[in-house]
Amino acid sequence: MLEVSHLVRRFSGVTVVGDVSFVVRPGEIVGYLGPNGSGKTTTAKMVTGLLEPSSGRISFDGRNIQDDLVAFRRKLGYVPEEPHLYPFLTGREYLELVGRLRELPPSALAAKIDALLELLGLAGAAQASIASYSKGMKQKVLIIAALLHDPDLVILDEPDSGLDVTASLVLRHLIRALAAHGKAILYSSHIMDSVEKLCSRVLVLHRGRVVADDSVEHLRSLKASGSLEQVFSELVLHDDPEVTAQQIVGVLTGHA
Amino acid sequence: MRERLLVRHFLRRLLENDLISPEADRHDVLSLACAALISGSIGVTILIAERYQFSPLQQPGWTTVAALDDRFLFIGISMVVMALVAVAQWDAVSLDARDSAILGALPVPHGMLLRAKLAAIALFTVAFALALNAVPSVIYPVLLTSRLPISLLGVLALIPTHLGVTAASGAFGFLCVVAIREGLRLVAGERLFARLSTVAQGLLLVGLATTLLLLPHASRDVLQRWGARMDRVIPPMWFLGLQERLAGDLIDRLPRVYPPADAPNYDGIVQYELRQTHKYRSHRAGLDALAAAAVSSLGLAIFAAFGLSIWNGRRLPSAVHARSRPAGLAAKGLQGVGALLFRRHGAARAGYFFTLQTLGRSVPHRTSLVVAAALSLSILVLSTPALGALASSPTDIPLTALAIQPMVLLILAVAIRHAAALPADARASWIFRMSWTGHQPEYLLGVKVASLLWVLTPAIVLLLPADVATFGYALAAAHSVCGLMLAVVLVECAFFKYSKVPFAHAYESHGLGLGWSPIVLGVFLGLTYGFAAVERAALDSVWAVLWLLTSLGGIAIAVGWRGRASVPSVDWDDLPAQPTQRLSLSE
Repeated sequence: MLEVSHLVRRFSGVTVVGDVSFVVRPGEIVGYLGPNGSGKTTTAKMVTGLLEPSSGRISFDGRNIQDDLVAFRRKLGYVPEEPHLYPFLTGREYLELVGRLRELPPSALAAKIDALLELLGLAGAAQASIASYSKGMKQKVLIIAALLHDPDLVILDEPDSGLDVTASLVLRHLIRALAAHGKAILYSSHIMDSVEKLCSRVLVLHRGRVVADDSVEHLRSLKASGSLEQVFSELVLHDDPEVTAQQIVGVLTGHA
Repeated sequence: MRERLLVRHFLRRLLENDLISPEADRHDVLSLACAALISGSIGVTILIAERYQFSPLQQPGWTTVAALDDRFLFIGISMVVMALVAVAQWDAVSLDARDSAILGALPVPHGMLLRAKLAAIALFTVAFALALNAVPSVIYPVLLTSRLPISLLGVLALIPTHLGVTAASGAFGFLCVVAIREGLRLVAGERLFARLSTVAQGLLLVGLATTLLLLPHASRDVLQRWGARMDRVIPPMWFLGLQERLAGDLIDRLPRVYPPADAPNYDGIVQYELRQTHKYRSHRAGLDALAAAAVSSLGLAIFAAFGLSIWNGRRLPSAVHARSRPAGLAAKGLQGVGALLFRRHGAARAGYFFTLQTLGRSVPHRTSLVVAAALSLSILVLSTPALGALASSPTDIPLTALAIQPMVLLILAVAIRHAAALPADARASWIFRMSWTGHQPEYLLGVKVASLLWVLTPAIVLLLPADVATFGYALAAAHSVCGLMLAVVLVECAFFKYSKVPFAHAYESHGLGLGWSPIVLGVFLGLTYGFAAVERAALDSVWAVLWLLTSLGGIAIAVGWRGRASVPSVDWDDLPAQPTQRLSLSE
């Protein structure tokens, strides 16, 4: 179980994440929502140990992750927001590198990589350099790399970015299947539909603070229309998106 | 207006090169590069012109002959450095897939993009060539003539001539590389060019860097070789002919001021000066042909570079789509050896394969090895005259011949150590932190084995034919085995107490340390010649060779054991402070 309590991160005195607390249990998919710059990625980086919190505590299975980051990361799979990969490696070589660093047995690793590349439609480009990959292809490589070692905790920071419709649907089912196998999943996305369909619980972050932490059903019941998108708009948006859109068109056409 | 904007954009891309790490502060790097360019050229110029300041009785005839060597060196340096700059700018000298993706979508005519690109290349070439040669062009003529009876106007005429000719030779070097690249692109086609490009770039880099290192040696006694057929086809000779044609007689025509007739060795001084004057004047006849060759070759380079660029740029290049290529025989060989060596340890396999992939494919890492290869090649070329005939016994072997191998191995080991400190891609290093299991010694073992097997051992094998020619089969084999054992020691020393993860940690610059270079050179020569002396003594008997090999093996084991015993665990958070972090802007 992942427990985050009173997490704070400041950059040059500016608080980007302030007093964030939540829990992700095995088999649970927790949605992590928030507008751009709300601190979602910073939180994800702190939970993975890539960034040290200014204060607060992150523990997994009762242990502070900072006590033994290596042991924690053996159980962690992470898909970052930005697909930074080694451009001169091929997709297969990248996955082999990750598997070797994680000390996976060579024969099992090769079989796993082959199967996963095939299933995600990357087999044809497995020997091409990552520099020539589209954003969606890079994203698929990141997803495979995060799951290769069968982690207990999966942190997905906008994993559907750049994926085509088919791959997005596969990802959605995959996340559900992983949760059914007892994995704890923290899922950050801007696609409300996905979050609504997948997550049992949703955290909404705004300006570095948690403004909602509840089940999707309960949050939906707060609004008459019953959609998560409406609830999200209510919680974090201060301007009417429709009015803003009209103003943009006005600027573009010169009638503002 | 739009075209000017595009020219500025392309110029900026030429300045922000791929060799500069994306994490580095570009302003910082560019400022350092400019400072190095200016201070370096001042230092080199003063070093070259120093002899004119200390000559007891400088005469015009002697000066014209001596200045030929200097001018050849200046022209050669300008030409090779500019060619190296073009090789470093390899992908930025033509419109590429990135330009297509970003600019192709805008309502900008294709012709305008191409014109802007060519204008940016032309501006960059001229500006860089002038910047490279500006300081020497002012300092050198002044130092050259400060003790001669020359007028101010005469000195002022020498300065623009020197600047014009050296800058033209630099432009020639730059444009030749552009023409080679575009010619290869035309002949091979886009898809094949994408595969050949890096090979061509690497070969040019090794060739040019070696030429640069050999230039001081090649610029000796230029006048002796003036009329030789081979030397007439060397490009720096053409531009030297042009410079002499334009301003050579400015010094030659100066009046000779001799010491009083009763001065000691008066006749000798006069005769020597007359001989030097005659030598110089007798060679002036060939200047017109050399000057014509310089002008026409420059014109041809301009025509070829821009003509081929225009032809190849008829269409915007499309991005090369991801398409799998079956692994070649070499790749399969590398994989097979890696799989065979490291069955158990994933971290060792990771270290082995990632070392090979990074050294072979990442531009900054390849550059490190290329510089080492160029240095090695230069040492080999310069040492060739010392090798002599086939040695009949070990004591007959010249020490220099035995020192070549340790020199090459030491240079390569230093290059590998430097390359290991550079991150393969700083932004992608997060995956190491995420997947790290703490097996640093195993990962390091993979790095060492890859370096030993695929960098140092091939160097020993490449030196083997020269060794056989110099020492004979038996001694050459023994020499190579000693070299192999030395390579093991050097690799162990290179990673002694190494507490980082090669190719994954952030780069920590310790400066160029140029102030230490005389000491480093002394230690380098001491170590390599010292080892050569020990080896020469050992080659006398089989037992002595075995003793040497056992000793080297013992040293390697001791260094490796001691290095592993006291290494702290890997700290991923010891990032160096970057310039912008001083203001806490990038936190």
